[in-house]
Amino acid sequence: MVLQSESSESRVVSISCLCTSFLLLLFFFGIFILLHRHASNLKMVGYSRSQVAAAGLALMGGLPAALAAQIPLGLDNDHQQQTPLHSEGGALPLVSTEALQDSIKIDNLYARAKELYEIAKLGEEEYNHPTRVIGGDGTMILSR
Amino acid sequence: MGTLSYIYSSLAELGDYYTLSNQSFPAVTGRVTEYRLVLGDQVPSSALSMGLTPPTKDKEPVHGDIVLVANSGCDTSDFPAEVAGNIAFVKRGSCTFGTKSENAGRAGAVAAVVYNNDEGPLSGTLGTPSPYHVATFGVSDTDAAPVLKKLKGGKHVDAIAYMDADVSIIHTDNIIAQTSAGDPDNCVMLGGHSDSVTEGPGINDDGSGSLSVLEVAKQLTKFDVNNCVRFSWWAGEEEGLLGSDYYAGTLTPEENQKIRLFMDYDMMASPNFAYQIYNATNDASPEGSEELRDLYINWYKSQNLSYTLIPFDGRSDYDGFIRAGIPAGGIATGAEGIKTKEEEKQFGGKAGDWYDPCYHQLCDDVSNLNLTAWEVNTKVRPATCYDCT
Repeated sequence: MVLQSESSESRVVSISCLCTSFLLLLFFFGIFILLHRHASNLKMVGYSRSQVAAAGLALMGGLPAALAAQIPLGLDNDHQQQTPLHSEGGALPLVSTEALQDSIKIDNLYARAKELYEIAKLGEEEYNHPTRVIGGDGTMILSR
Repeated sequence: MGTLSYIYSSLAELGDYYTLSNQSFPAVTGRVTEYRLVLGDQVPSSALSMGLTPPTKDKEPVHGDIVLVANSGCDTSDFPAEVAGNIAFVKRGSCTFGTKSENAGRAGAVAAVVYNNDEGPLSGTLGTPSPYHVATFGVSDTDAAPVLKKLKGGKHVDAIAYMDADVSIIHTDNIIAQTSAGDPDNCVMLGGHSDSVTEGPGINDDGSGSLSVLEVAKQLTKFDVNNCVRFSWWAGEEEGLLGSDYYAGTLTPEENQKIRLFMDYDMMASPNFAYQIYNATNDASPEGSEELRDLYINWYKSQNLSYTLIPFDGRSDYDGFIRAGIPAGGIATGAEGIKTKEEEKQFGGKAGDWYDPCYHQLCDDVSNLNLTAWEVNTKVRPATCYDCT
């Protein structure tokens, strides 16, 4: 179906707002690096981590309170504090790029891959080799 | 348990952080158990069964004369009367294999052989099943040449064809998990496909994408979100983007508007990987697709990682969304494309080889994963657009 152009625009505005925040942040970010290089002898790895976090947060589409905490540059801080949504049983922290990235461990992914291969072996009886093709035992229909 | 049960139960363990649903839809699936083809006194080594081919009668061998069909067998008039009870020999080109097979069936052929009008072996699919389809094979130009020579010289060539195959309609399911929190009218969507090809276990294609999406879904439960996040696992991608097409194509206008964008994750861990980003542009795709592409570009840059832009040409599950006017994009690590020398410098691996040497084959197993690329690409996701407003 064809969308009305008005609807298309509202989608691109939200994404370009993101880009603007990112570009703005990148600019201040660059200044931060310049200042920091003179100030310290930080190892590259640890150094780049905080930069990534800052850039990543920009990509998150503006978390003003968190931004102020991460970039100690005396930024014009007239953004309003956002009130995090609460889920039942207590507040969860609002998602942050770095925290979510840090939670991704290759060991967990690899363990799942091994589980998936065991599932593929269910297809052997029907297909003479492991497979997860639809309609085979390796896929298993939920509703029939 | 099968793949879908695994995904579903993993999500169910996460409690009410997600609302789960599965969307059932019909899909045509074909399976070839065995086939043989003999042309004259030769067994053509290039012979392949066509996708979704029916079996020969009673799944037994059939015998007959090879009858040369005029032109490319795109019209029923191309088929001489002698085809009836015999085996149609049809040139590739000008129309689909399905049409050729259907015309052959209408003319009474017991089987059809399509020969390549280009170099090399010939594989393809008959597409949507027709009651007139007959067992259909593809052969190379080289295997066809001696047969054609004899037939055109007025000589007689007979053949034996045997196809043990099944075509069936099955029902399969898309799985959707949406955050209970977050603005439900502004969902960010991401997904991979849950199925593999028949030939192998599909651990990279697209186990890697499916599992990345699942792992992110699990980790996201530690956080709150401003926008709803909708995770999806599409079925039947390998049969032709069936699940994602069905989902995107059946969205009501209201539901369509709730999706800010869709991010596709199909093959995240190719052994000979390149970091690839779909080159979506706003002049060819719904507005917002280009901005999403740029978010990916900026993320790889922020990690001091190289990336390449790859054609946004409808080969994966973003296609249905683009057609439905929803901005989309995604990343990949390469399939049967060939790594360039420049890419070898950027990403390591081996120039001249496929990005995934086991693409759509039996060997797409747990050893067919580049774990570095997989981890990087799973981390990319969080950086992209969880808080679009």
